[in-house]
Parts: sequence; structure tokens; C-alpha cells
Amino acid sequence: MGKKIYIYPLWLRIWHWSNALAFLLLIVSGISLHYANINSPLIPFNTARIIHNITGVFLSIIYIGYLIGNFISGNWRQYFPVFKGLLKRLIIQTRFYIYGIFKGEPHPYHVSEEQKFNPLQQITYLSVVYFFMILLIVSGLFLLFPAIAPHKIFNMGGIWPMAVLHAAVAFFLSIFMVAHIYLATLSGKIWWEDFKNMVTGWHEIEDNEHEQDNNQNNNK
Amino acid sequence: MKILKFFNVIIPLIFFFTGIFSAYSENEPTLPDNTYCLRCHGMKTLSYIEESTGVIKNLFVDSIKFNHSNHQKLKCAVCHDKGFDIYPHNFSLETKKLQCTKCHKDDPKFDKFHFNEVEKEFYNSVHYKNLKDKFDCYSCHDPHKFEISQGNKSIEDAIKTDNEICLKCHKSTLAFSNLSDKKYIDLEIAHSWLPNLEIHWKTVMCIDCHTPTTNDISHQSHEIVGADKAEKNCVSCHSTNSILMTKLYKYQTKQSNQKNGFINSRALNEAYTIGMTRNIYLDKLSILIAVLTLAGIFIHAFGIWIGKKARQKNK
Repeated sequence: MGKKIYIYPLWLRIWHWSNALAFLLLIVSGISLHYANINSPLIPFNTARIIHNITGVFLSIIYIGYLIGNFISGNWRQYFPVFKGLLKRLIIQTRFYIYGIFKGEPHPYHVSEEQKFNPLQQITYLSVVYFFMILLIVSGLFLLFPAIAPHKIFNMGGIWPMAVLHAAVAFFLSIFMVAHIYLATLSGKIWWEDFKNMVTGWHEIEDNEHEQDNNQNNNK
Repeated sequence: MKILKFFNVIIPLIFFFTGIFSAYSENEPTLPDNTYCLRCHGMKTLSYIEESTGVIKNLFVDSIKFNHSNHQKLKCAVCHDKGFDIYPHNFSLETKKLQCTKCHKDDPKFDKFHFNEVEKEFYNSVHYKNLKDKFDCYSCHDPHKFEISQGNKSIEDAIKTDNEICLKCHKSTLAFSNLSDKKYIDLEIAHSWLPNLEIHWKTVMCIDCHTPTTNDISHQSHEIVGADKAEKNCVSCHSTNSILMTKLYKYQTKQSNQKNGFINSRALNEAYTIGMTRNIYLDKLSILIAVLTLAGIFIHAFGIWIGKKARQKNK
């Protein structure tokens, strides 16, 4: 039995799971709107429209709450990697996912209170949370408040580019969500360990992880 | 004392009458009040048979609708001038053509309505080309009722009101044949190519397709085109050309804010046009990426499972 560290505070867990639920609703209602078909709807068009609008506003509000929580708690620092040696760390992490994991090698970077994410997670989450989420919300808000959308973009009406951008970013984030869930099943000893951690907030560190980290630090 | 009393009466009277006469002579001539005209024209049955066509012409003016129209402040005689104040009217006056643009054109106050462009478009419209003087502004816009859209109607109501103007002639064989010698074509037959016809008629204005699609959304084009030139490309609305969508969206927001309040308007936002987020290349690419991602995850998970089995075997 290893040491337990508290890495996911309550506000972060509430945001994470609310965000996950909102995303699922937005994906299902979004697909229903995008591929709308009167004869065989996934969700009936008018229901999907209302679900998407309400959930979209909810997602935007909790995102603002998340930014505030991130800023106050200092959690934002977790997303910004140290540039020195970043490429090397990324290669190590990628090598693990495409080779080492099949050989049963240990994870190259372990969770600590100071650093919750591995280098690949850092880069991905940074772009997802601070770039793509903002693009998604802003383009969605333009569709909700069309009067403030640009009148014309490249001589086209301003709404359509926003709609296509919204769909493209939403699709990318849906793919991210699938990959995120899959990789979460790989990070613990048992497939559901990381899901449990995200519910309780506690992460268990194995004794051998301490030793490996110490060895890594000595080798740096 | 008697002289003083005389001046007390006569001087105010002089001021009173000189005031009236100066007002009369300096500005517009005094026009008869609208109630004077509506004593006859307020009767629903006031009508006559036009000798040349045999058509019954109704001369009723609905005072309630007039008082809600954009012309509510105008006296009848402003437009129906010269001779209409005398009863019975001279018959030759009744056939006199009135022009909207007589008042509305070249007046900076009306610049925002683009009457100069509207006039040019009208002369290029299929109605004017085919019917010439038999068709004018009043064929569609009744000046006694005309009310410019304030964006305070629901989209469906606004579309219905607008389409009723077209249907007045295009859904009535009698009204159609009074204007045109062409063969009357049933609208359902003419639009049989259009999928989900009922939905389109409820959610699209006739003029959305029966005017040229341009990037200019400053005003509604009055260049009405016939079936041969009308928009038949589905993707003009359902995807690539967003001009129609932009117009619809901006109208919808205005009316929805007024009708539902700000928060409900966001939740019930009803202007989504099916297909607006779609793009053929993005759709194909997204399906390809989704399939590759799922396949990648499956292969990766399978690889881990195989690796685990192999390690267990070696132990």
C-alpha cells in the first residue's frame, strides 16, 4: 500500500464531471443537429436544439468558473510545461505509448502534487483547455448571439464560417474526449483507477514509483 | 366704455382670423380630415365594377389597420390630391396612377430603405416585364395597411404574412387571370421538386428563392424572378451560402428577444438552418478521423492485451 496524495480538489472534480456530462449531451444533441434527419432522428430536432442551447450556455458558465478556480488555486501552472528538455520528455512519453506499454515498461513520468500531468498530457490539455475550448465557446456564442457576429467574413455572411468552425472544433474535442477516456484506462494498475481518483480526489503512489522518480532525478 | 368693450371683442377676433389665414396661406392648404373620407371609404361594401375588366373594385379602407400602418400620420388627400376632396370625385381621377417613389425616392430620410435600388429592381422583376403597367407597388403593398417589419413577429408569422402577398394572386385562379394571360399553374405542382414542401412553405419566404441571391443584405431585393431563374440549389441555404442564413439569424434574434425575453431566447433559439454546420470535405474528413481513432484505440488495446499475455506466458 503506497502513499496517497490529494491532487484533484473538490471544485476541480465538480467542474470535470459537469464538463464531461455537458460534453456528452452536446455531442449527442450536436450530432442530431448536424446530421438532422426528419425520418430517423437521433434526438428529435427541436429537442436537440433546446438541449444544445441550454447545455452550451451551461458549459460556458462552468468554464468561466473553472478559469477562476484555476487562477485562484494556482492549478493553471500544471498545464504550462517547462520548455527546457520538453522535446526529449515528449519523445520519451510517446515512445512509452507506442512501444514501452506493450512490453510492460513502467510509466516514464509519475503523478506528484507538483506535476499531475505527463508531458504529452500537458501539451494536449494546454491546447484543449486554453485554445480549443475558447474557440468552441466563442463560435458557439456567436451562433447564439448572431447580431454580434461579423457581418461578413471573406465576402460570405458571418454566420456560416462560425458554424463550420464550431462543428470542426467540436469534432476535434469529441475525438480528444474518446482518446482521453481511453488513455485514462491505461494510467493506473487497474483500468478504472484513474476514474476513481477523479471521484475521490486522491491518487495512490506505489513505493516503487518513489524509487523510480528518485532514480530519474538523480540521472537528470 | 362701449368703445372699450368693442375693442375687447374685435381685437381678439382680428388676431384669431389673421392667424388662421396666415397659417392657411403660408403652409400646406388645409386638407380634409381623414374621417371626412372614411365616412364613405370606411364602409366595407363600398365598391364599383370596373367597366373595362368587369372586376369588382373594393374601395373600403380599414381605419384600424390604416391607423397602425406606416402611413397613419398622413391625410388621405396627401396622396389622393387634386380633386379628391370634392364629392362625387371626377371619374378620370380614380384611374390616376399613384407612385410610392414620388414621396419615397430621393429623400435622405428614406435612404435606409434603398428606394432607388428598389425601383430599379422592380423594373427588372418578372412582374413588371410581363405585366407592365398592370403591376405596380400597390399590387403587393397596400399603402393603407403597409407596416414595415419591426422584427416583432415570430419567424413563422413574418413568413406567413409575407407569403400571403404572393399567394393573393398565385393561389387564386381569378386574381391570376385578372392580371395575366398566362396559364395558371398550381403552386404544389410547380414546387413538386422541393422535398418537405410543407416545411419549406412554413419556414421560407417565396422571395427568398424568387429573388437573385446576392451578397447585399441591406434591403430585400424587389427583382422577383420566375421559376426559370429561381433558386433551386439546396445548398444555397443548407450550407455553403450563408447570406440567407445571416439574414434569418439576425431577424430571429431581434424578434426572439422581444417575444421571449433574453434568457429564453437563447434557450429556444429557433433559427438553426439544417445543414449550416456541414461541409462535404469536413464531413468526410471527420468520419475518416473518427474511424482511424477508434481503429487505433482498438489496435493499441489489443497490443497491450497480447503483450500482457506474452509476459504471463514467459513467467
